[in-house]
Amino acid sequence: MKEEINDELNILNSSLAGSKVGMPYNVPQGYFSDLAQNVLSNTEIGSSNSLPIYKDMPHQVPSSYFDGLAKEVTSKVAPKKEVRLLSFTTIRWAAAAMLLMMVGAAITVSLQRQNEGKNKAEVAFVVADRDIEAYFADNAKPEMTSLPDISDLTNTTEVEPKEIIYYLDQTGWDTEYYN
Amino acid sequence: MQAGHDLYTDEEIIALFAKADMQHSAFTALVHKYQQRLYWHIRRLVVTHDDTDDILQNVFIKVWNNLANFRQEANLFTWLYRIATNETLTWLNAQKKYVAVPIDGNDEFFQNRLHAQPQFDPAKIEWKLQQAIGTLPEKQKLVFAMRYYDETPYEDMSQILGTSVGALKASYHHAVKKVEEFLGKN
Repeated sequence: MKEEINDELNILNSSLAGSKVGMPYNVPQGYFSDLAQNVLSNTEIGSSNSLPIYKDMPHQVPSSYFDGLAKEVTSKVAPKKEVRLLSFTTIRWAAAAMLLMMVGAAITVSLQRQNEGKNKAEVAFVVADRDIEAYFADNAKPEMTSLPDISDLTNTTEVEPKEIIYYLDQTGWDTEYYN
Repeated sequence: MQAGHDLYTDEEIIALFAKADMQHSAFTALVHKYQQRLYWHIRRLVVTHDDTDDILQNVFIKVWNNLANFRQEANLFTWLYRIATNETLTWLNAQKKYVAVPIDGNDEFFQNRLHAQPQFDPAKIEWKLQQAIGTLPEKQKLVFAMRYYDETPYEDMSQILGTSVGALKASYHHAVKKVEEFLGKN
């Protein structure tokens, strides 16, 4: 490296080439032998609480100054009506609770409506089953085969009400619907 | 004792420092290994011993506080040099805040401190050279000192100063010309 630097200085035609000029400064004797210990003692002081400095302030405070300070300050402040303010957090929680209640109510109403529709459908289904069962039960009766033929009825000039009711009973018609 | 500490490699120092009960020994080894190079690196820029001592102690305190986080892929000496350079430049900037410093060099702050040195003798070449260095702008001063006195390779300087090798070479060449010019006139 030294040669490289000399060559560089030679290229630049510098008088510094070839002769190294030393530093003229002095260093106190023993400085380097103590430096590590000095730095270590500084780092330890910096990291410990054993500083030999008293924390008590040298200034004096009038006696009972702090006892009356709060009273003195409040007496100078104009009395104000106590206004209770809701904090922003409280308002946010209240809004969240209201929102939850609204969502809950909407869900409940929706479920109720769904249940009502379901019940109606089930009722209709049950009625339809009953009718079908009755129909098949009636059709399976042997009397059905001996019902008067419709042509006979139309050809009859006089039809007794008894016969009409009998006919209607046999075909599953309920007289209640016509009364 | 110092020779003994120099036997430790950088890797060994870092590994020792990682052990809580060996921190003091590792740190002492590190200080002994690098103290002189860092001391002169700082002193060439700030001139007085007392200020150099203050800055150097701050450098080593920072090293103590940060060595545990040091990444081994970087060169330890480059890292130390960078801390020392930053501390020195920060200190100089703080000192020069209240002193007029011409942009083209001729650092009055530096020259005054030089003249105040007890052994100062303007007739001697070594003091003349210091005066010549005092005419250089801060960056050139730093580059000249690192190259001429410390014989630092440009690649290392590039890492320490964050400047390209080409720019450092140009800076050094300018510095040598200016120093030569000063020495020729005085």
